Amino acid sequence: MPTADVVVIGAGLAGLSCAAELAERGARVFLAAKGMASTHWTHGGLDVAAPDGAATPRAGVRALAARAGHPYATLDGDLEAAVLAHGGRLRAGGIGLVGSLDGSLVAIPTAIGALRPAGLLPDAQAAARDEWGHDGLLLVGIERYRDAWANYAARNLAAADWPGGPREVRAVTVRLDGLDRLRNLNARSLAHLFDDPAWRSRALRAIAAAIPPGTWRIGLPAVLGITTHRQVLADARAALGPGVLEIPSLPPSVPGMRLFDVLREAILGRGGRVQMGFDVVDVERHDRRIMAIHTEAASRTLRLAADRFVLATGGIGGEGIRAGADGHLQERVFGLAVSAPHRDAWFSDDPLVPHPLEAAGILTDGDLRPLDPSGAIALENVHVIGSALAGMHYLAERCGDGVALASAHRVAAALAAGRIAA
Amino acid sequence: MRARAEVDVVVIGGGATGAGVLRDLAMRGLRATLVERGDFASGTSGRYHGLLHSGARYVESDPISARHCIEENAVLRRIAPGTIEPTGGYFVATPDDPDDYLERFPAACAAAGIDAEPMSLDALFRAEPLLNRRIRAAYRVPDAALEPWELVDANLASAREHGATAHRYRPVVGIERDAGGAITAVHTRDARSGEAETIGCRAVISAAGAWAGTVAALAGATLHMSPGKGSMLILNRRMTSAVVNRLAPPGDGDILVPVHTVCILGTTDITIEDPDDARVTRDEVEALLADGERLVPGLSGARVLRAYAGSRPLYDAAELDGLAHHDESREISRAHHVIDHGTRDGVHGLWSIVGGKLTTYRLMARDAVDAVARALEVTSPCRTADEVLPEPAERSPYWLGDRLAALESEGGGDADLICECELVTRRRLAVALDERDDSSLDDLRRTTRLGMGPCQGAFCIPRAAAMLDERRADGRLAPTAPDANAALRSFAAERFRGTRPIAWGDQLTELWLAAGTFRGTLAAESLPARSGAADADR
Amino acid sequence: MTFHDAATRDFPAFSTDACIKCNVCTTVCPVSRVTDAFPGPKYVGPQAQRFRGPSVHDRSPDRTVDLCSGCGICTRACPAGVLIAETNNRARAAIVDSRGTSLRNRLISDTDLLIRLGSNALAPFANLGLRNRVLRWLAEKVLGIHRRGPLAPFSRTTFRRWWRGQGRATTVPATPDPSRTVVYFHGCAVNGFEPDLGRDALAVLERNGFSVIVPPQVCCGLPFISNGLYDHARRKARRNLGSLAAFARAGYRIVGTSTSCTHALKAEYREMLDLADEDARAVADATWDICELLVDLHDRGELDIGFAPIAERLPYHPPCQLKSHGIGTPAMDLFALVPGLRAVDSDHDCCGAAGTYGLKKERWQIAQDVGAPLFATVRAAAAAGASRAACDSETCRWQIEQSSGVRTVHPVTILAESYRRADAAAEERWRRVV
Repeated sequence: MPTADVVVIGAGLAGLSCAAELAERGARVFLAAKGMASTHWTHGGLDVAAPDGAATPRAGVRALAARAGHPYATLDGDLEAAVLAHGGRLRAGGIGLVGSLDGSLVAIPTAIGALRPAGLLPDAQAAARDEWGHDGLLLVGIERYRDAWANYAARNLAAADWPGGPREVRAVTVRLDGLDRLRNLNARSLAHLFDDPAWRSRALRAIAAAIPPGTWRIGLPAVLGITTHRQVLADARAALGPGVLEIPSLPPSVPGMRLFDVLREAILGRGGRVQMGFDVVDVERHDRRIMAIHTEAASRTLRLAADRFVLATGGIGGEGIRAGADGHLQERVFGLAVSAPHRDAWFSDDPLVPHPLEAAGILTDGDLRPLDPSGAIALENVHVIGSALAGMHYLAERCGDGVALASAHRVAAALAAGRIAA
Repeated sequence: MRARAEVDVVVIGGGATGAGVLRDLAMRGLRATLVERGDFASGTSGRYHGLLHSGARYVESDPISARHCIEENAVLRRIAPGTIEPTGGYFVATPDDPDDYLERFPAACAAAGIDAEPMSLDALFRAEPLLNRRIRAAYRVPDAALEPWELVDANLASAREHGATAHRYRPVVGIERDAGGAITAVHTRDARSGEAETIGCRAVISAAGAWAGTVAALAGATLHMSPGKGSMLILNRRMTSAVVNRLAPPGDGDILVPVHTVCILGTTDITIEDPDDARVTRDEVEALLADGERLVPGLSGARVLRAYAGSRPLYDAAELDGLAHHDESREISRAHHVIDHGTRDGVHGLWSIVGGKLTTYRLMARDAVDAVARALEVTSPCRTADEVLPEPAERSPYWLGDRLAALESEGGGDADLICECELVTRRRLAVALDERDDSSLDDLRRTTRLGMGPCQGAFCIPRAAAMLDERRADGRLAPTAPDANAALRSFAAERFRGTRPIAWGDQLTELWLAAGTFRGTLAAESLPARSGAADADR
Repeated sequence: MTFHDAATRDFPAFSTDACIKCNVCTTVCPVSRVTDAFPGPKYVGPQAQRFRGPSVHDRSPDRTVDLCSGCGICTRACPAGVLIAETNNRARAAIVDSRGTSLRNRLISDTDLLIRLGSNALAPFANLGLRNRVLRWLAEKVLGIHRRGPLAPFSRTTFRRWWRGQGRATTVPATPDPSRTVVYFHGCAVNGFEPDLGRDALAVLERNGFSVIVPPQVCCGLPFISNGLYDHARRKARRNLGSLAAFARAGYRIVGTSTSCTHALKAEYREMLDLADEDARAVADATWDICELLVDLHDRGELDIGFAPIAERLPYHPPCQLKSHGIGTPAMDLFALVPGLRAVDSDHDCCGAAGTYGLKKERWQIAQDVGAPLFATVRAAAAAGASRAACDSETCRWQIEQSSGVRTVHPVTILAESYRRADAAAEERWRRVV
């Protein structure tokens, strides 16, 4: 097998970004992942920080950085450059990133008609951030598509406390060509249809015909193409007006799939390797160094040796951290210790509020090397990035993407520059 | 106070027993109505392990129950084949089970009239490859899986065909008596609209099970129930294709029942004061898993979807007789008792039916109705064992592949899946919404299995809430319906309650995926408390 | 067997417990991308599995799972480790067990029989038949084999017959040296259709100091497995294990040029056919894809890297079966050793052929649509000057060649060519010196 300078484990936003930056900086990088994950599950925006009361992402980061043990306490300095580089990678792949760390956090509508704060958004979702003025919001449902709930969302948004929101919110449900015979229509199938120019133009015509008089921004399910998204978005804006906006819903996330594709291309384009289905089943360890990992194969395991390993396998959600029936939490690849609240205090009673367990993760030093329970460096040539890091409530603080990018950048830049002594 | 209905008998409690009582009354020509404080079969009947007992479990500890079970087992197979999956069952002796019990078991089964056929271990392991290879003896018995919701539905449907009525979300708030102590009416209040109603009657049968003490108290009688909390775990797959019981005196973790797509590992037994206090503790979960390991080694590494508990309607006969109090609820007879509160407490016209088990619900109903019929001088005999129950119970026995096979041959938009885990289509949910006029997703779950699979609602909850909202907006749901947002929230909370005690491994990951969707993408926590449609109504 | 043991790769259906319903698999499935008839891997995989009995002999509720091509892309994308495609395959076997299968499926699965009938002196006639429009039309009408389904021409003699004719080894040599001797599993493609590839493989192995044994062997059984005919497959598997296990246990490596056959030996005998005995383990552990073996040799510094330049830029398609090996793309590492050669990974999922899938009348269009982006890439590369494409699996090669019109060869063919050029150049130099 090829020897790599760095093996990155995990293909979420953190792992992909870290591998891309390492490849850009000339390292031989091999990304091994058990499968695809977080990109395909989330809304595809860029959640940097939106704790209660923050007016901008930067203010949010500052507030979080002040919390003891929060990843931003050490990573806030890396964020600016990381976001800049990320925006560049997205642009190269045909996705615009709108907003900045200093722009306002604005309430944008969700698929069920709730509001969530957003700072940085992909171009396709960004129209939700602009001042509404006298614009109305027209939510478009698609007959047979079970994950867009235009009527329900419109009724909720009409009743919502939405200062500065649209003039009015309405819903229409359109019938699009050829969907009658489909079953269990999902976001991916619709996105493929939108990638087809002929189908797309018929669909956009049908949607345009359903728009009532007046000035409207058109809220569509987030299905505006995958491989030719940029063109689809341009066509949609030409047909339906500049205020077209995508509203993401249940997984699979088409915006996330685009993100995955763009970042994967960025790695491959710089000579890096990306292998899916490579589940780490064994590691070779010498004292406090990892010499190689072994991934599952049809018969013998595959050995991947490297100088450095970047652990980007995610937290509990990404299965980077697993809990046993006995309540013991363990990191899956290297068996690292996990910092977590006592088992009696894992959960809140309401599933829709933060659970203390969400802050579980791996404690690290300033170079993001994992610490053992005594506070010593557990593994000298392993760096932990993304959701595996301890100390954040990524959902409530809406900081998961920012931490992923900042930690990925911190490690990639340092490794490429040889700044971290082995 | 609004209308005053008049019936012969009011049945309190809409579980299997109450539904069976209502049917029996109606079939004997009595005018009857049933009131249930929540949804039908939402108490103990809907929270049991799903076993149609052969009775072999009780051949030693409770021979009366054992005989009841085997007799009713045969009756139910005849009158409600569609609610039963004839899985068969095994009693197996693990190395931890006592020798003397194993020796006495065959004779005890024979005495109770239960066909317990000895099985070679070879045949056992061929049929059930995951069972513990250290099992040293096995008997095959006529256990089966029984679907409680459909059974209750079918009994209610039959009762309605015979002129009875049944009302859910209608808690009893008072029971009226005349000067002589005889019951004259039952006061109820609609839990959703708040409307009060009085039902005039000559008699009341309390089929409130573990809650019978509370009902008796409303009429001024005393009845001490000794509810036994039984906790169970739902595993994501069938570990065995037949029911498997330990060959030992009844104990924790002694049974594995394949039900629909899952199997249920049961059951703990803890005496509790309040039958509504049915929380599953971590100790119970650990005990169940440890015991389940004895049946299926490695079972504790399998995916557990949920934990839940029911309250057994145990009635402490010994205590009422002035004998010593029992500490272990399992020692109290599972056989049922009909209590005439007229002779006992001077509350004339009130009967409580307590004890028993779901398998014997029809027998319990018969005995209770016999007592009431005698008092009301009605002579028509019980015919509930003779007449087959209507749909869905009359259909052919359940086959695991039914839903998938049907779906594979269906087509069109209505065949789209709303709940993907349990294959609940848009059509099935729409029919349930029409039939039941429901606004609680948890109630829809009982008849459709919505949200009962591995994702525990992560995908179907917003889809179903949106459907509910559409019907609400169309005016097709009753005006008392709580709005879709409340339905979404309460179902999410309900699903979470059952997941929380077993949140580890894949199920914890699943919980995090759901959290990411609900909070990260949908921001459900910031939904307005009531939807716009609800506001428009006011 | 405990539940814990069962919940491993050997029993794919148990892995479905880990499904968290996240839909990643539905985003990567190449079949559901092109046809509405296939409800996708989540639906027919972990979701449907909960409605199936534990054994392939249980009554099957399924229908649409039969549209799964078995490419395995879902399995590799799944973040929870569910063996989706493998589970689907077992479900198909249950359909066949419950409701039987067509004569067509039995026939196209039985490659040993086809080779017996076709790879002989009459091969030219058989091949005329394969090219004859009327006969192909008839085969489509009568048998359900699509008239444009990718079928390779029969070779006039089988590889085995050639090998025996050369008087070469079929048993352990007199002085056994497992480290320098390998067992060659030629598979049906080399035996009946592409014997030259077998000879190229021999040349490459021998150049690197290996003696080669070709013991008795039959079809690996994969076509039967893919068509749900497990009993037939098991018979093939047992014969192969009977012949190969002794070599495996004696420390010989078993090398194949078909990533499909080698994957069957490595994994499918266990995962699908429940052959988990010691023989099966030994053979699985001893089996190598030829490129995997050569890269291993290179890692040890033992590969002859005296490759002559091949100045060409060619598209390379790593087939799905190779990806299921979990060994990456060893051919790319080898191509990198050939001066002047620039191989470009097609970066497309699947060619659509999926063994016999693309031959079937009712599947052919699906297979074409699945492969269309790949064919376009290959055609574009040809337009830019590539004389051929490369791919490790035979049915994929035939599909790519037929649908793109670009000749498609095994990577080893290119390596052998490079070695031959090096020899020729050396000989030339020698002649000049002389």
